Amino acid sequence: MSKIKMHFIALIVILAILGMFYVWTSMETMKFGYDIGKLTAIKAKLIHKNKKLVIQKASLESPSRIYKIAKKMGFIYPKEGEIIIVHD
Amino acid sequence: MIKIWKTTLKLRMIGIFLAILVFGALLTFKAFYLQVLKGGHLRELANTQFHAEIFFMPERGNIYSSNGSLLATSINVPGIAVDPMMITDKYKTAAKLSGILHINFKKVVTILNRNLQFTWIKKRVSENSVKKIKGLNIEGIRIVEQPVRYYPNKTLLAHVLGFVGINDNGLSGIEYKYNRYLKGSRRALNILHDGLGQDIFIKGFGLTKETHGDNIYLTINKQLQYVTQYYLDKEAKAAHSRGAFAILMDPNTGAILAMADYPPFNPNRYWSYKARYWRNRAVTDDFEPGSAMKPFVVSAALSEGLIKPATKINCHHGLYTLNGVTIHDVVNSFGDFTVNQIVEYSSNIGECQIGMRFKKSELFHWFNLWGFGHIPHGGLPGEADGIIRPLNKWSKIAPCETAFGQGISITGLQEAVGLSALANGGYLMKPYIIKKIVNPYGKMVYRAKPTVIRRIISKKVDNEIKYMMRLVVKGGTGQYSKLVDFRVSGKTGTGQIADPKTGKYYISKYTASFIAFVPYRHPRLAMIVVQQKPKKISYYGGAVSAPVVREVFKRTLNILNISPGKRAYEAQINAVIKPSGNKNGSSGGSGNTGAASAIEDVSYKKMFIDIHKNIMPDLKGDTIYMALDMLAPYDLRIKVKGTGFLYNQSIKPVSKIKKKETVVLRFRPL
Repeated sequence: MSKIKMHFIALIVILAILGMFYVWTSMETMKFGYDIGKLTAIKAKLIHKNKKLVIQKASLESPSRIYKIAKKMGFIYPKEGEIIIVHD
Repeated sequence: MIKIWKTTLKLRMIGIFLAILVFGALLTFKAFYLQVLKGGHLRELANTQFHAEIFFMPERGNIYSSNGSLLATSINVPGIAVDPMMITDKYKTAAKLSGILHINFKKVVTILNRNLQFTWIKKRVSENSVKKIKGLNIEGIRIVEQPVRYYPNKTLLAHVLGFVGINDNGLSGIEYKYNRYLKGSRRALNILHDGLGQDIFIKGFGLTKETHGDNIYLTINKQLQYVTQYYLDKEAKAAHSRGAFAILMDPNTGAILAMADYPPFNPNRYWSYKARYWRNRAVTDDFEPGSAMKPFVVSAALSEGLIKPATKINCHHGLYTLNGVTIHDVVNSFGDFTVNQIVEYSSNIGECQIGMRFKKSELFHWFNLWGFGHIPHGGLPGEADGIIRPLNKWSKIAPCETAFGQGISITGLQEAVGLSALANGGYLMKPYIIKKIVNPYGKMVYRAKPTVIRRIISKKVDNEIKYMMRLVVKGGTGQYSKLVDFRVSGKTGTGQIADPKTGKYYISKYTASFIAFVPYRHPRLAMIVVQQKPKKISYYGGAVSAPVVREVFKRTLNILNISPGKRAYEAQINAVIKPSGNKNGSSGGSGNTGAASAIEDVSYKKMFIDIHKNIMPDLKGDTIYMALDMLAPYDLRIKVKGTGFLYNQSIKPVSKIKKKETVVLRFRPL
């Protein structure tokens, strides 16, 4: 085979490889794009869930709720003089 | 042969080359046609189909208490919207939606008949309803998430926090005043849609947190706030007050630890309350402070050298006429009183004469020094400046009236700031409720620092006025604020309310207040309680406001781990003494306060002498803590039996103590 023909075939092969590489990277980019889209949606859901839990925790810590429960359980405030603060 | 083959190959190559050239030329032409000639129009079409711009609504910043407890936050809540143009069977859809969302059928039909592409059916829908609506699979129905402000503690601190409107804008309280910090800013993100409508993130990914709102930390302590609000509500309900408010302040820094208002409201459902419930009365309402003004005027008079604590003033047995105006005292047995006694028993006649010793301009100047008539700038919206008449409108007897808190109006916050100055040695501190503002990255945007506005009175004068206020609680009009383990100083105030139409005072409408700080020597807490128009129990501050102070101090001192420490023995004198005044909280007995002071001094001395001589002290009436504290310096074996107050000690008072001797202390509840 002549040198020109060899060069021509080599050029075609290189171009084909480059083309395939370009297509592959584009496909991967698209795939990652989809993945990011899905993960973003999961992240948003988890953030929302976390937020709901934080709010639930804050509601459960509400002093008026704790006071009501403590009262039901028979707890009372200590009388004056019944608290002794121990210092180090 | 080879030559022919070469020629054929050459022709073929030329042919292929020409074909590629023509094909390329066609492609170029088509590309030119699409990109250049039709480019603009096609790009527009493609953009509408594949590109989308998502708007990320910023998350509104949270509000926290001083110790990081969540007070206000936002969460996305689904709502149901509809594109009426896409709904084919409107009646059938309306029937289904009204059933799930519990809305009137006719109302839904009206919405669906609107000539719009987007309209709300219901905001704030439960997740259960959303699931059901999704299951209907009706084209044109949209589920849209919208941020909703949520206050997990419901009524707690509602008047200070305020609330947020539908468009995420603060409408009242901290939410309104700091809206620009809390709100953040909207940011758009470009994405692609594929043929199935799925989102593909190509570029511009990553929404920075800076778009979210800043978080605000208040100086409010959640537990102290609850205690303050609880006892204020309880007493205001019992007294049938029209309104009430309380401020608990750290007198040494000006930080507001609690601010409560009555009647309460739930900011999660603010729209279901009348607007008068939303007002933060502690900063917006001005009132005539009545006798609670006396410590401020007396300290001014002491500073000017117009009086001394022992100066005697004739209180005319409860009836005194000045320039044709008659002034009364609650009790008519007051003759010659020292200044100490005038404050202790709250004599208006005595106070009037102290006021009249000032030149008008002098007293006017002193009111300004205390910050009355000026907005306190505590960081809350709607702060009022109170009313001090211009000097040229002061009548001849204005110094007399204003000295006992008539003809002058102040706000709760102004009063709390002034009280803090009395408590901390005479420094007027700038009040503040914002502790810090932090951006979503955790970077500090703002941090408050205690600020001294000015020094008003000297340490000497401050000690004198503190002692007078101590007498008020010990045996005067403020006995309902008395504690066993701590010494409270305070002043009652009962101000008349003027009719805005006639300018005259109502006969039976009062503002009942009490101002106090604790512990007496080194105050850690300053508190004001004001009840507006109380109808039951009493209209005296000493009866309806002092008990709130007492309960709040009792609980908050424990919460803050403030120990009576070595000063516990000081409380021994008052340990089990019940308030001697009647429940109207007006003046108490007519004991000699100078003598009371002397008893206190003798007690200290005696105790120290007793320790040195190993003489057993008298512990009767002490709490366990106080008794153990008292016996700490002695070399004794101590046995404690029971709880409450000491009623029996095995070693008799004033007996000589032997080393390592066992003493049995018996306690029982009162």
